Amino acid sequence: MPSRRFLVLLLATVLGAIGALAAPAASAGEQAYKAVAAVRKLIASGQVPAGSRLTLGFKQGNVNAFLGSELALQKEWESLTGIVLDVHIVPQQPIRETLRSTPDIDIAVARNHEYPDLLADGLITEIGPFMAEYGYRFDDNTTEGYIRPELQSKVGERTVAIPADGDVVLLYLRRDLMEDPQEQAAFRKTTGHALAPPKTWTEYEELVRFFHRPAQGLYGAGEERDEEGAWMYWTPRFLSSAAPHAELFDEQMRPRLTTPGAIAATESYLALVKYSPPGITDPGRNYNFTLPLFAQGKTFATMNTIAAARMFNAEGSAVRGKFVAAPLPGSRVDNRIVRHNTLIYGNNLVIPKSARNARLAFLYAMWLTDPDVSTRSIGVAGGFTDPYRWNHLRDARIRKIYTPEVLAVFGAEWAVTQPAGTGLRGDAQYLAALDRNLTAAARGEIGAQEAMSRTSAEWEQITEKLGRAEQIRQWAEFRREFGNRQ
Amino acid sequence: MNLPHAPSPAVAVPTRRSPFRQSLLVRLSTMFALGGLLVAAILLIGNRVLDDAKQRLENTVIRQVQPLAATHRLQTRSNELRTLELELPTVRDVFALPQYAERMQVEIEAMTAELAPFLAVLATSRPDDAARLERHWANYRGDLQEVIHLAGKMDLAAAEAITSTRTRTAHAAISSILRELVGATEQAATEAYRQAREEQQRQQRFFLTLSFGGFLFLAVGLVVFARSLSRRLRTVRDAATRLAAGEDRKPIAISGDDEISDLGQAFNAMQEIVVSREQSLRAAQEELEDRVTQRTQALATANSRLWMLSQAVEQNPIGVLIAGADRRVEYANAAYVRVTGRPADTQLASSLPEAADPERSRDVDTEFRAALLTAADWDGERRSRRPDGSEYWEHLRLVAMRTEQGRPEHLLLMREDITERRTQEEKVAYQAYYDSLTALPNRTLALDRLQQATGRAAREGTMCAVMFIDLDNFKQINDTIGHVAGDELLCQAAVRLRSVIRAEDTVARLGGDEFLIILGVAQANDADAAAAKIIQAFTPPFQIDGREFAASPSIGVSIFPDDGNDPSVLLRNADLAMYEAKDAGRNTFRFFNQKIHDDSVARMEMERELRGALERGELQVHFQPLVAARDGRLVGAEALLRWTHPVLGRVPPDRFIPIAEQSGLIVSIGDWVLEQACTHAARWREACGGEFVIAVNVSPRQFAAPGLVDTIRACVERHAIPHHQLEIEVTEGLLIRNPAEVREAMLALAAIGVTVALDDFGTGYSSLSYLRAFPFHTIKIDRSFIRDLSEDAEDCALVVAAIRMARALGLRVVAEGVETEVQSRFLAHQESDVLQGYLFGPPIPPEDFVTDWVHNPTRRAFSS
Repeated sequence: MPSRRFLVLLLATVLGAIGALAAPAASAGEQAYKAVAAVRKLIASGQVPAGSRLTLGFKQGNVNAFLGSELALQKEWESLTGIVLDVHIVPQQPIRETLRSTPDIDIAVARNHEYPDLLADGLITEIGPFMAEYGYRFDDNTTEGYIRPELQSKVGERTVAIPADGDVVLLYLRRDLMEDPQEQAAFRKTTGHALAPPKTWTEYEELVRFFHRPAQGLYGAGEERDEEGAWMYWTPRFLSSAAPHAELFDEQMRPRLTTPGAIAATESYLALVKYSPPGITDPGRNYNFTLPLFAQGKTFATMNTIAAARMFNAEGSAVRGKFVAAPLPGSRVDNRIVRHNTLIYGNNLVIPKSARNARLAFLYAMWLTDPDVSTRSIGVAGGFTDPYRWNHLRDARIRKIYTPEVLAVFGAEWAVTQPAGTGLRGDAQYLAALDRNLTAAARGEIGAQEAMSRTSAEWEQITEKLGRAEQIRQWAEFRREFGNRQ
Repeated sequence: MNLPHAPSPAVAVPTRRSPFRQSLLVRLSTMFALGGLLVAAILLIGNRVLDDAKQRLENTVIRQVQPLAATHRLQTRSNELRTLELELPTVRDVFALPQYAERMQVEIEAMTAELAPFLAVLATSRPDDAARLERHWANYRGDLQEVIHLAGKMDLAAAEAITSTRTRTAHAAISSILRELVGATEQAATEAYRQAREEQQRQQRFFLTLSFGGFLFLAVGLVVFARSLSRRLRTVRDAATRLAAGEDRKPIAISGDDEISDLGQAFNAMQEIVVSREQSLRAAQEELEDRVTQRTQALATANSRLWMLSQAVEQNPIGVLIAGADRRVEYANAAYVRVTGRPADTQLASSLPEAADPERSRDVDTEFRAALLTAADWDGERRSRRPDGSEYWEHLRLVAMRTEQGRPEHLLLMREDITERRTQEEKVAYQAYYDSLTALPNRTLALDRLQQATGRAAREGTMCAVMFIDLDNFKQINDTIGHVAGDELLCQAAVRLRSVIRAEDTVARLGGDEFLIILGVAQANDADAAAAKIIQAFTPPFQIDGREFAASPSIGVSIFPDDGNDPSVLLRNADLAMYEAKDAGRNTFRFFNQKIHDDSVARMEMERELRGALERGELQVHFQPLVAARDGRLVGAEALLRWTHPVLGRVPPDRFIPIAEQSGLIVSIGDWVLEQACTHAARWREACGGEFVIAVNVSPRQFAAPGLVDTIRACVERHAIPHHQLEIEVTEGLLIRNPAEVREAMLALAAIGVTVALDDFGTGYSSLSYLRAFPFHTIKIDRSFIRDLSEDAEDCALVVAAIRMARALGLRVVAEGVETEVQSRFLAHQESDVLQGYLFGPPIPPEDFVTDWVHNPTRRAFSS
């Protein structure tokens, strides 16, 4: 008769085998399954000790997105692999500062425009070799692929990040006011044409002007004019100021900010200040100021990522069911409308150069951004990242959170989306100069022409300081990689 | 010789034992049993006493700790809620608000669930406190729900107004009640614990007293018994000491009736025998010493003779080993050790060293052992391995040395190192049968192995699989990076192939980028698994000169004996199956079957028929209307090729167009279709108000052929087709194969005003990157998505997304396969530009198209 110890061992083996076979297939797709299998292989071969710790450096608020509601994704990962996730909450500051001061993080969150500086400073790891080793690629098929992964993962030809968020800019308008017959009639009487979502920046300004009624507690525009991130709302205007799209520099890295198109884009950016709530240009008046105003029905229009739709559609929002997302306006160039969008924030995953478990961190990121796993992380109330795969747009939970109409506009905007920032080493310096001068102009201290002239001069100094030859090379590489269709 | 000593009569007479004899065993057993019982009784009583005391203490503690723990949990939850509501108005990022709201909601529900049973218990002992706590919690919960609602509204100021006034009071009241409960519970717990502790100490004292008495009684009994035994045993020991020293050997006095008295009697008998044996041993020792002297002399003579013989062969350069008739090795010279690299064995049977190749040495070893067994003369060659791992060829000769009567008396084994001669012979043989680049067997050896494998399978009634492997992108890589790197790729491919099959199977290189694998299999499914492993092995890119290249295999498989008995037939059939794999999209495998063979024959026949079809006038171009989604007006037509064979009848396009593509006939046929389409379009354009788009499909083979753009340009100019009225339709597969060349051709077409449409959008990779990278003018959404529009929400979402995406890129959208009015209305509503499908009309001959459409371009599908 077999001993009790033997029976216990046999039972444990059978349960373990059933668990190993059933668990991954039950909860995740092929991308996740491959990642889990690779981690188990690392542990079995002794390259990684069982129970190793992976340190995640996330900002407050990212926790639900990357560990799941009530830590469900963390528990699932730990149960599948035995690798423990240790979350460090990092300060609300540029990730560059965090990575410099905190060396023991294995995976961190970075914004798209930050990649070139992080790479140039040697703070993040290239993940291309890992992708090749494990047979991964950022598939962009429209069934379940990443949406425009090249915009969110690369610096030049090097792959440095795993897309985990989708932050293109959307224009939000008050649907109830747009569909009000009295408003429609009044608008037609005032302007001579129908009330409709704007196709150009000029039409947008006209619309905002019409609905600007401070006496009734309604302001026309709720677009941010804060210094930190001023470039985000200026860039779409600038890009659409020339066909096929305007460029920040010429081939010799001379800034192209004083062209008539660039000045017109800046004027369009400044024009909205007078239709905005008081104090819009005060320091710190970012989306924490503009989004509540729109959600409480105090502004007619605002701009933000698709995350704003999640807030506006939440219980308690005064504009729930009363707003619409529209494609960004464009500019009329050579008798046709040129439209461009850009990526702004973006909570994507990077692996610090100082990571002690870079390989594990990569496999965790691939597991997390698997089509099925990522759908579960986005499709929860209180999530912090937004859709970035094509299958997200068709998921019932996600459609309920964002609304199908907003998701349809969101999906289409990617076709005209350009990379974030300058794409250059020194991006933080370039954008800081632009932000500073745009804000000075928004506060009425200087004009549009002066803002662009000053930015142009400062950019020349930055380019010289960083080395013009290298900047020219990087700019050429950036244009080659993200060259637009002619 | 001494006889065994006979015991004296006094010793031999057995002593009669008392029937009531108290043996030592009985006395010791009784004593230990009593002692054990005493200890067990003490332990049992002690254990019971301590358990009781411990249980009473635990029960006291548990009764008091449970309410304390529950109160503590409630206080913690209440504090957690308070922390969350205080943090919420200070959140710096509004996107974090929903998380806080969600966490607060979870905590509220948890607190409610925890509180309900607590209140039920509390109500039995302190009903007033329970009622107060329930009331304050109801107030606090209501305030928290209001805070959550304000968070949804992002009104943090209003939320802060509540958290700084109302909720502070409610939370403080709850905390105060919980603190009171904790205080009262702690007081009761302290008193109960003190009483239980005193009781436990009383029990411990009782147990210690009982234990001490029991152990004292046991110790006294043991001391008395041990003293008695010790005295009697000392008497026997003293007598034994005297016997050993040869002193006084008188018998000892015996008292008592137990085992010790038995021992005394036995000792007396033994003492008598020892004295007698001492005398016998002295005589025997003297006789033995004489015999040893004689034998030593004889051995010295024999050793001298043996040494002389061994010297005679010591200088021989060939290894010599001599064994006796019993095969025991008697001698080995120095050369023997040099050749074999190890000391000589003790047995001739084990003198064969480890074979370098046991399989090939099996016959030689068998012969050697047979000769050894029968003591027959024998010689042969084998490849051996020395203990240091080095291998060598040796010539072995076994000679039996017989007596005059012919009886084998000794066996002589001679061994000669012939490595140098054999190395030369093997080198010549290797060059004839192996590929010099990859070191794999070449075609000659592969066919020989295949012959052997089929022969073996036929004899054993098993199967074998033949895999014909062709690298898909090899030519392109070779042309791109040069032959040296191409050779490196072949070497790496050979290593990967070798790594995924068993050692007994064969991988061979037939030439170029073609490889052959021969596998012994139990069933056809085994080959399936092996092919899948090969494809898996080619998944990682190849690293050549620091660059990465992807090269996938296409594999054709034939099985012996199902797919042929002859190696050449198996090879041909695997080759055919490999082409099936290529057709299936490459990077896959296909098994040969009769259908492939039949299809191959049918394809060849159809290709033969197709070659003359154009001249015989069997090909026609049909036209399917393209209508505007907005108003159903005719805006153009798609030209579609049809073939009517006099015997086969109407041949479906999906059967003959792939054959035309493979055979290259598509180039001339495509030119003819283009010419026909433009000719008709030029005639119809005027009748349609000058706006008539003619769409013509162009295959990848046409794109690969030189001069496509020139042909199209000439056709456009010849028929004066206006800009943007000729549309070339291509499929996604074309883009993947030669993206740079195709983009160049498409830009050239755009330059002459010819637009390009992406056909069957949605069925392939459907990448947004392709749409952005290539200068398309139109996308055609595949019929499979349109067909399920009314039933499948996912298809609906896909079609809407595709239209929005195309709109954002400024592309025209054509929806194919429109069959119902519901589909038509939906697509028009979603701003699709052009519709095509049976709802409007099937592809029809040009003369019918003129009647039905050209003369009536404004007809509506919905009214027809």
